[in-house]
Parts: sequence; structure tokens; C-alpha cells
Amino acid sequence: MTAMTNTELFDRLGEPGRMQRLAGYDLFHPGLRTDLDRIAAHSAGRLHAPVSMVSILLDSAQLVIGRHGLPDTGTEIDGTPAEWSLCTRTVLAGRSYRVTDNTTDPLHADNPILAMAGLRSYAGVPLIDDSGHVLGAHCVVDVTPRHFSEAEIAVLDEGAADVMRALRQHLV
Amino acid sequence: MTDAREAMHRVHGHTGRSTWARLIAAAHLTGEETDEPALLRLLEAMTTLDPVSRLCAQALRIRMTSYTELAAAHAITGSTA
Repeated sequence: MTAMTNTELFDRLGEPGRMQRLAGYDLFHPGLRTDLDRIAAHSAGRLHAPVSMVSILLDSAQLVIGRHGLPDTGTEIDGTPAEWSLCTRTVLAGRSYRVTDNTTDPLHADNPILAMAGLRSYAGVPLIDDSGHVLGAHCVVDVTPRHFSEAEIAVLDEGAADVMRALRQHLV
Repeated sequence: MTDAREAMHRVHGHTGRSTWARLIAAAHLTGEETDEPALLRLLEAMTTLDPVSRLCAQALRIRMTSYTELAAAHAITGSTA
């Protein structure tokens, strides 16, 4: 993704088949949001991380649909441009993605969102549906440099499985 | 408006052109407008057009909000980060 332009990135994320799958879920259902907040809180607690999120990658932006440790804006407008979202990398890779310290990582050192929020380390796993589409990511973020182990990734994978179970209950 | 048109073409694939035409008709726009009220009206129409267009509108709103907030933060701090 290093050399990927925004147009290339948005074309990958906005592939019509993938967008149709995303549109098949009621992503704005309050009950779903509550369930996902609970899953995020559980993952944050198990991994001793201050922030955890459940995100969907839309064609050009990350939409946060579950959260722990982040303020709730109380609106549907809640996310980050895709080019600045670490979860974009998890989605494009289709597997776990980790950043030990974004301030020293050449791929992320100039990310204005991370700098503004004071976030330093990240671990995310993909949310993959039954058709194989990568819909989004479940992640934890810390405010200090941190190496996330394979065991910690396995914890996130368990959370991702819970997220997919919750999403399947909100197919429209 | 250009970003919105490109996004609609992208996410609707081979029906992108006709969906865009349906959208600007629903919003009573020409698609050539450059002012913010027209864009907001377009996003509102996208929200009710179909589920994929709704997600597309959501992404554009997130981008607008984020860039506005970043610009405000930079104005306060003088930072270019």
C-alpha cells in the first residue's frame, strides 16, 4: 500500500461486490452498536489496551461501529479517511497487522490522525464474512510503544469472530 | 462534487453512470455545482437513494468532517503534521 494512490486504494475498497456485501448489514442499528461496544470493551480489557474499535472500511473512509475508550460522537459521522486508517492496512492485507510505534515507523510517522490522537501502537485483525469479503477490522490501540504477540492476536481473532456473529444477526 | 461522482461510479460499477444520473435528478442538481449547500443536498439524496449509495455518502461525510477538523487543529497549533 506504500505506493498506492488514493484512487487505487478507493478502487480496491469500493469494489462493487464488496460494497454490496456491506450494504447487506444494518450497520446503524443501535442494538448492533451496543453489542459491538461490548465486544470492543472485552478485547480492550483482555489486552489491557486503552482503546479498541470495530470498524467497517467503506470505499474511502473507516466507519467506526463499535468502540471502547473513544468518545461517542452521538452521530453517524464517526471515522477516518481510509488513507489514514491503520485498519485499512489490515483489510487490504486480509490478515493481522501490527504497528509497534507509529512515530518511528516510516509508513505511519506522518499520519496526522495518529499524531493528533497521540496513538502509538496498533494491532488489528480482519473481519471476513462467509463469502470471503474483508468487511473491516477489529483492533486495539495503545498510547505507548508496544509489541503485540501472537497470543494477543489470537485474542483479537476471538473478538472478530464475536463481531461477525453479531453482524450476521443484522443482515437485512 | 467531483469526489462524489467518482465515488458513485466506483461503488456502483457498470451501473455507476445511470445511478449518478438518477441521484442528481433526485437532488435537483446538474452535477456541475461547486458550492457546499449543493454538496450537502447531494449527500442527503445519496442517503435515501439505495443502501450502497448511503454508505458512499457516509464515507464522504467522514472525509469532510475529518479534513475540516484537521484544518482547524492546524490553524490553532500552526502545525503541519
